[in-house]
Amino acid sequence: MLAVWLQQLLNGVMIGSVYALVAIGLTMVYGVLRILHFAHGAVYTLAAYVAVLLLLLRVPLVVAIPVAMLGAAVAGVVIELLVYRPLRGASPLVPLISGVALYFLAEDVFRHLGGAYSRPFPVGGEPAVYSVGSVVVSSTQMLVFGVVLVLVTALRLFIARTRAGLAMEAIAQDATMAAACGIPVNRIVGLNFAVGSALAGAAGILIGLYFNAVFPTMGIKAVEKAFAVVILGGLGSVGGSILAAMLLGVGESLVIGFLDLPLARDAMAFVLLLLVLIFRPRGLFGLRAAKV
Amino acid sequence: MGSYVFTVGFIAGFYSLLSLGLNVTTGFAGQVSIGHAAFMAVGAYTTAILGTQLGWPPIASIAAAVVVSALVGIPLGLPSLRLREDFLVIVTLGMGLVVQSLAQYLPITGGALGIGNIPRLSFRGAPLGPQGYCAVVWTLVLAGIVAARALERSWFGVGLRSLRDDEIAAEMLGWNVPRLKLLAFAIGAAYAGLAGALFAHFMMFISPEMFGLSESIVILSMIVVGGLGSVWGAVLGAVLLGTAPETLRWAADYRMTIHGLLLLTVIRFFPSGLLGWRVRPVATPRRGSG
Repeated sequence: MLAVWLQQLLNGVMIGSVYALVAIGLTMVYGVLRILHFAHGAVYTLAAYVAVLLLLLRVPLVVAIPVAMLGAAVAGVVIELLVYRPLRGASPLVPLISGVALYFLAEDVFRHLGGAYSRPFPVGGEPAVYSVGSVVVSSTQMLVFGVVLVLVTALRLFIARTRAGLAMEAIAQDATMAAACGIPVNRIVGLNFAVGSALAGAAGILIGLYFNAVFPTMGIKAVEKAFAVVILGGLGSVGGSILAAMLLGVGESLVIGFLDLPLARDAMAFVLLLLVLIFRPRGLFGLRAAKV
Repeated sequence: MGSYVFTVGFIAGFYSLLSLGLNVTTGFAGQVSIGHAAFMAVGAYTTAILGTQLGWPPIASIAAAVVVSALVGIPLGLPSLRLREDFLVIVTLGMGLVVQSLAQYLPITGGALGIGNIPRLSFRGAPLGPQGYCAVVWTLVLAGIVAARALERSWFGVGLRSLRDDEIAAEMLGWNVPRLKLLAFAIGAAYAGLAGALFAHFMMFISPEMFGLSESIVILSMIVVGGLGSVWGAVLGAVLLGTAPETLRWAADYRMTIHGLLLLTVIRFFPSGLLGWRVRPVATPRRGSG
């Protein structure tokens, strides 16, 4: 029994760490622009497709992952420039709908270019499987977890130790004041999209790799769940998002493993969210996000 | 050909009812919801269950569907009392998914297979064709427009708009803000329940995937394109976007791509909607009209 618990816990942490990657980008974008960035899901899918394409061209995985992440970063910057920037100052619903429209547009483009079916991830051979006691870990899981760990650490250092990271924090706290202090707001917002999109791209690649499937509509579930995560963690808080993502990943795996509920796995995130928000309307870790 | 036009006409009217309702919740009262399809599902399932399992006549089951949807709107509106705008958006999205998921897993809703054999509407014993449905739905749309305009001009409408513009100020002026919010949700839900019920009797078959997130988003984009808070805008947006799959038929397999590009372009150049310029700020209604 203990082994089953441990196994579910491990799977939960694994999935949770990937949710975290998607959610970080959303929460960063929210932090600087106060918009709910739906098209994040398109960037996530794009990177997965780019990685598949590169692997089909016999580019090794260690090169394909960063290149596809770079592609995602560029896409994120372009989206901000073309779709969100012209809409600054409009009602927050307007960029929300634009983001959604862009997401569905991208979905259709992926369907045209990549086919409506699910593509396997072209990595040769079955992943190796290691067992510790009766708990099983695959090499894919280890790769996923390793990549997430590296990326999250790098992000932490970037935000805490560089001037650009400091500028992001400043804009998140007060964009007008930051601009008055001479921070180039537009450039930093662009950088923000680049970093957040690269992380989402990494998540798309890892999920594609883990489930061995890349398909046009894969982004919607990821982005839905990432929204639940960022709200749970208190919008705009990177640390809160990471913790909430882990909590959700583990919670889902345990509930799926041990309870029989009349709910889809994907709806569970929102039941959890509602329960938490009843008691903590600002999310688990949200301090700034007080209701005004 | 004739019946095709009327079928498209019915769809346009059906979306008009949905967007008129969401326009009350989101356009008038400022409570953003991307779970509006949930209320449509409640209406459709209520009438389908009453009609197929208890043998209620359509008129009675549709009326019941409207009432049940409005009542469901109140608890689903509760989070708006505690959450600020961006949180509410995501929570309503989640409630839409939860309602859809319940429809998929509960035995009474027929699970993933849905409910079939829903009786057709009939007039003097003869079942209605697309023409009849089109007439029924547009009569109701007209009634819905009149009701929404009356609501907009009433004191209650002033309350809703002052809530949208500044919640604290509305509260200071003595508006019962929780009551305004919940009623805004209930009214929006009633419209959606009516639309969902008509849809069920039109299709004669419903299943959970008809009431998903994309449906909610389509309705929201209709009121954004039309102009948030504009009653005529809601109808215009519904007719334009609701008939788009048909009017863009020439684009064949690229229909959705074109649709997305058009939507992005319209929003880019009309961020406050096509009829957004008609939306007045809070104005005092004439005496005696409330």
